[in-house]
Amino acid sequence: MSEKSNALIIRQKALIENPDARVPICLVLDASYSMTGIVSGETTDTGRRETRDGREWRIVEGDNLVTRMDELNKGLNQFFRELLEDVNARRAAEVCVVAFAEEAEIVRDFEPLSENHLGTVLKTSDQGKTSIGKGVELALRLLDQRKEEYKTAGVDYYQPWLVVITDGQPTDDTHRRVASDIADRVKSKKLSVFPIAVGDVGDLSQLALISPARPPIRLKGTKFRELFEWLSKSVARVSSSIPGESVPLDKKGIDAWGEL
Amino acid sequence: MLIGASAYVIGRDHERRQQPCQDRVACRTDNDGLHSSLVLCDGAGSCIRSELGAELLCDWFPMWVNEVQADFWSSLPAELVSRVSTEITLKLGALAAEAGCLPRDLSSTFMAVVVRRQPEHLDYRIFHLGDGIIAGIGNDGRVVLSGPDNGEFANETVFTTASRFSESLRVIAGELPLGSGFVAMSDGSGTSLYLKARQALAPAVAEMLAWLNENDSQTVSTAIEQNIRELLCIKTGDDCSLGLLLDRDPSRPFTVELSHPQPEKAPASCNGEPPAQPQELSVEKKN
Repeated sequence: MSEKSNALIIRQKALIENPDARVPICLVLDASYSMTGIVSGETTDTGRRETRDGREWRIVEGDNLVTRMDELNKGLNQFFRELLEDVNARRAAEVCVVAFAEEAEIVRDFEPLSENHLGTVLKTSDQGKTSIGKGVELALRLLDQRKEEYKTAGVDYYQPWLVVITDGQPTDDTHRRVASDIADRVKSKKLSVFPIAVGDVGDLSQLALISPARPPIRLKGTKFRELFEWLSKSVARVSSSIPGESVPLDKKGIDAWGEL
Repeated sequence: MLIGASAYVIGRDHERRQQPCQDRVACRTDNDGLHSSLVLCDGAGSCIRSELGAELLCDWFPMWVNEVQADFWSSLPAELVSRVSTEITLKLGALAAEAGCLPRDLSSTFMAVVVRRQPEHLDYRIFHLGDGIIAGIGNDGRVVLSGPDNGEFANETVFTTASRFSESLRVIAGELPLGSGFVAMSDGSGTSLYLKARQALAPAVAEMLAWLNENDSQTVSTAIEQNIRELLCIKTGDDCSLGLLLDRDPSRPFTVELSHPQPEKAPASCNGEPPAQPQELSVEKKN
């Protein structure tokens, strides 16, 4: 290095700060009554029976009971923690969380990740319905709004992900209403959809309607932790990809938590 | 006379994965200093031999321009699109056969500036396919900018082996005053040198062009490499490359300043504040 070139140094303030490209992720999570289903703990049958979400439920009581929703919340917070720990994903990932039962509601809108996300808790609804379509519809609306905000602000973004987790059959036809919108987006590679069935959902054909390219994946037991670990790693890989670099899905990693 | 400088530096991500740098850049000026070509290619991330394709085009293009000089300047932009895209497709096909790979494996973006010094002005032709940024910065303060051609998503762009190559190849023909400069940069360098939200160049671009006023090509190339390594590569994991071309004229020193408000954080609508309003690039001339 010559002495002369040593003196040719760009001033820091003569450079630009561009925001990092974002990976928008919509989590559409079942918060219907069935998510109070007990997955571990000592239970005693109260003898009462209730019919909700199209199913009959045995009402139990006991100590140290863990519900499906408890496990989902643990997995969700672990997801946020892992994203925050990854240098690229922390700056890139933006997660919106939509809960659905009979109606859909925003639990978290899109925003840059921060420690505030760690306190995210979904509560189960008393509504005995599972309107998957309303949840997806709301998520797509939020996603479209966010994309417009990115464009206005000159922020680049990656292909969005839509992750739908449910433990029940849809109890209305709203998922059919959004199916063609999703099909268009998936066909034109504008959206990646991951439908995940939890528990003993028998027929996955209804869930498959909102995912034309990828069949629903059945969660093994309550392996939410493994599911969200896979998801955060996948997001981290996408967030560090560059133009022309396709990011293949870690299909092997799915074996740890799901089965087709 | 025309003088150029260029450098490319491997990014952290490729270094970590022990992969080669996929950016290449070259600048060739004729001995008389009246004709010059700057070419920069950014190899496609997923293509296994893309650095070979990028290197081939950086070697070939300046020689090709030299060979076809006679009718190059009289060709219309549409004719240049057709000629350049056909030549590149043939070149990549031949290299693929030689290297035992598919042409697709050699994919890259393509950016080039060809400049001819005339007694009263500079003629230029800008070629641009894919992402990255090319600009001409007039000594009178005019800026001609060709911004990145990305798809909707951050990791999408158009490459030399795309079926829509010729439709996507942009050719801009024009004139700038004597004493003007040109810059080509890959998207990695653009992270620090190009403000996407306002389609504006960083002030550093003009500062570096001014280095060519008083230093030789090798000195400036070495300085660019050092600055890329120490400043630009910190902001991105991607490879970074940069090429500069200036009409050095002692009677008209390059004194353009590129200035605009520097944002201190991500555009606001993504940070919970009101969105930043796009502003025109403000160009000032130093006294």
